[in-house]
Amino acid sequence: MQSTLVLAAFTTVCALALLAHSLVRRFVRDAVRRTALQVDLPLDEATERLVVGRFRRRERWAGTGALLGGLLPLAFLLPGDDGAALLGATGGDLRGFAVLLGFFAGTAAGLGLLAWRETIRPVDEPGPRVARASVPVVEDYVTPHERRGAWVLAGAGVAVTAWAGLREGPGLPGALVALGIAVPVAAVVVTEVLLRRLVAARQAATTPLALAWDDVLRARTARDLVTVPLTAGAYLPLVITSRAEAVGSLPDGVSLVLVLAMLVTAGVSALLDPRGHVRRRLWPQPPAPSVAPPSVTPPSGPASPAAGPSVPGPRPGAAGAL
Amino acid sequence: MLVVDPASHVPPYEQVRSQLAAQAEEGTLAPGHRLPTVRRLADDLGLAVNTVARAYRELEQAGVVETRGRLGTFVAVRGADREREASIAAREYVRRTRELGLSVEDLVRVVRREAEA
Repeated sequence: MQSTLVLAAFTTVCALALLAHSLVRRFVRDAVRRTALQVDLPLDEATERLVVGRFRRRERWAGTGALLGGLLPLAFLLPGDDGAALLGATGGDLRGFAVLLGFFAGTAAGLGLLAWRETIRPVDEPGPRVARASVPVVEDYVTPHERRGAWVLAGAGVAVTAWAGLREGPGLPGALVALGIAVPVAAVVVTEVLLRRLVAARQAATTPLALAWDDVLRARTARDLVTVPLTAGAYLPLVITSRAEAVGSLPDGVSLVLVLAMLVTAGVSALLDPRGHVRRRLWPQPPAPSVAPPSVTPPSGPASPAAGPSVPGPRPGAAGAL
Repeated sequence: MLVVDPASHVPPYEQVRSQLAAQAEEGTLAPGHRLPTVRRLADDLGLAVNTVARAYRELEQAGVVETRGRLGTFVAVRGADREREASIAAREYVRRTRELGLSVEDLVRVVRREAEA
């Protein structure tokens, strides 16, 4: 129980740090400028003001979600003997898992709720509105290796749990087996549903640059969503294999191999620069720091198409073409 | 990229229609390219659904786009596009039949037989 409380304290400090960061505008502005360099998108004064405001809201909602998500499991977890009876010797590890998963799930929930709110808020900015003539897909916002990695880890979690359950039989608590199978699957299913809803939601923008930054923020939310099944899929097999090693069902070192495999995967993922993925996919030519989009040229005749405004922007065939 | 200016004297549906038509004509939107749903485009541009629906309807009547039921609305293959698409398909067919060792007469015979079947 003590280690669980330490973990809960750590996640609480992280959440509070995020909330505190959002209060200092200069910190957030610096974070926005760093992001602009990372994703290679320009920033003009108006767009920076807009993006800083959105970053601050993101940090507040993410911090609040992380705080509640990390602390809520403590109210429900069974302490002491009851927990040990239900969850076996892994009770402590699973309490820690619940806090960690709650932290990430709370963060994702906070960001998801904010993303939903932003798609329904009235657009106050006057003037022209821009929209892409194509249909973005989930792969535009989340790299395939992150998304499929979540599926693979969840599947591995289920496979390890099922294998351990078959090997140890009644020796493995039923609740542990149920959690080990249900949690990763539920995490993947819910994440996939939410990803599709996120991508299908409205994008209201008055300039191409604002639309590009909306895509960047949308991609961040999508990647935060994917973190939940990644966490569930990574942590549970470790708990179960550690337990199996402790009781001798597995040779020592299997969980170490799993940890090393996860570290290598994380390193490869970082090298592939997932943060710049959305810009490369949807904005191969980044929009110029603008300046409102040019006004619409009226058509020269009732049936003849007008030469539409020439605005550097997304690759329309990137997503949505057959 | 579509731009709708509410202050323009051009009606919003005409702005959408003309820009999509122009981009299809230029080739910026390739044949087969799937357009956003009416609702999504209306939400993004802050327009009424009927406004975008009218633009899509007029584009379909002009043969610029085609609606395939629940699959969505796609930029149509038209005129010169048909010739180009047919050439691409023919080139691939010729390449494959050459791999199989067929003569020109044979590949023409096979095409005619399939077309008349």
